[in-house]
Amino acid sequence: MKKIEIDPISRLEGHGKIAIFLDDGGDVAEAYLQIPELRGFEQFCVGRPVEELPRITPRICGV
Amino acid sequence: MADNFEPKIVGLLCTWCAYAGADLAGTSRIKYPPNVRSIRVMCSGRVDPQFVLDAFAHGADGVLVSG
Amino acid sequence: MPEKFKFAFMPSASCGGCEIAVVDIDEVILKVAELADIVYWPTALDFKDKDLEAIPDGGITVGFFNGAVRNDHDVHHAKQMRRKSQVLVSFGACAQMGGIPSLGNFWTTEELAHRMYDTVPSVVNPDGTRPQLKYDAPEGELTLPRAMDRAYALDQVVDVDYYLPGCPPQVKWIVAAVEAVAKGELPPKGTVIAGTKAVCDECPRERSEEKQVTEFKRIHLVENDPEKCLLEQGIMCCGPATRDGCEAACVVAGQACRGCFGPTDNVNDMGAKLASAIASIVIADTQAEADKILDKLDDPAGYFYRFGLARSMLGVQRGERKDGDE
Repeated sequence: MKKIEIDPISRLEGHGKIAIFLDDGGDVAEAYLQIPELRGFEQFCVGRPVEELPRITPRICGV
Repeated sequence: MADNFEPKIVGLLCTWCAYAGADLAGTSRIKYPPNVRSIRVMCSGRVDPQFVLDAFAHGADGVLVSG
Repeated sequence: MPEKFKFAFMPSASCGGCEIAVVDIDEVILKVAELADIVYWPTALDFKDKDLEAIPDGGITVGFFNGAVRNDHDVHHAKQMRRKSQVLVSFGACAQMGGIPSLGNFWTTEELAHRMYDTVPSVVNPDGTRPQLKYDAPEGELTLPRAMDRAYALDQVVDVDYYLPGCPPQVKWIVAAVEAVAKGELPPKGTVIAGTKAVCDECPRERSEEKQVTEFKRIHLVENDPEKCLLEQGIMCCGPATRDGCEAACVVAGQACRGCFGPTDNVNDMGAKLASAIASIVIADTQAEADKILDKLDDPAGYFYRFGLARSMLGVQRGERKDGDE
């Protein structure tokens, strides 16, 4: 099966890659989107003063 | 911990009191264990938290601030 | 016409704000385009991994690396950028000292993953599915990079020539750096391209000779006087230990400094320096009084190490590094 890999997905913030598998006829059999990055905002925002969060969460995406 | 554990202790000593005291102990020939490595500072107020972290980062087991 | 410089911008564990800062230089970008070709910049242009691989070693004049180093793919990119760049610039707070992503260093990667995939309220995952490094899909194999034990600053992984600090870096220092490259007047290696004093030196707010704090207050609970030093009003501000060069942008806007420019020269642990700065302005006669005042400072770890936990000496036992090692 032919595999087309798009790594990284460009012109956006954040990391992503796409794997597309083609069948023998050249049609798309399956496509996978993967997000390879782990930063942990879900955890490290917990317990911080709420007035500080507007200064932390914008760093999830600055674009 | 092993019984023969010998801690390395960094002593940050104020020149006017604690260091003078250590000096007096020396001239009075009072013995004390060599575990304390004394560093003279001009005042214990000069001790920065960074010094303490630095000492631990370089392998100290304890830090004594005296003054 | 002399040969053009070659610039590359590599994003890592970051938010992309650094790269928006590059676009923020407005019309200067035309001068940059005149001066240099951009050979890799996936956030703005259509570049792929293979394009970077195709660049010969030393083929990039200046490589700008933004973001913390969080997984083995980032390490690979950092090493690639080091090999291929004549000058490697650590671009932004994350690359310089871990930035916001390094706040996660208070937990293990497993604890972060547990929160993200198992317990966060917006996730429904009864089977406890986790990302796999390798996954055998019916159609073929899929792989993911391995998250490291913590976030690292760029210079904990590879050798770095210059630092452009800030979250995001300020336009005037980006321009200054590009001009230095254009003129061939590069500062000594290791220079942080920004101010050399503390944010307080640039801050327009009035302050008294002797700072004294008897109570810490949360910023939304006081009506703060825009003319007066925030710390003196009891609002936690990281200005005293933070490098200047931002023209005290946050403080001018009515918000306290959070230290994104990193520490001033010769400071090896920003949090310790801040703790020392704060301790010296708290006015208390007894330990109990001091404790009472400092108890009101509700998230000291989050204030002192907001952007710099990866570079802190805390949590790095006796100089040991695990994943960041060569």
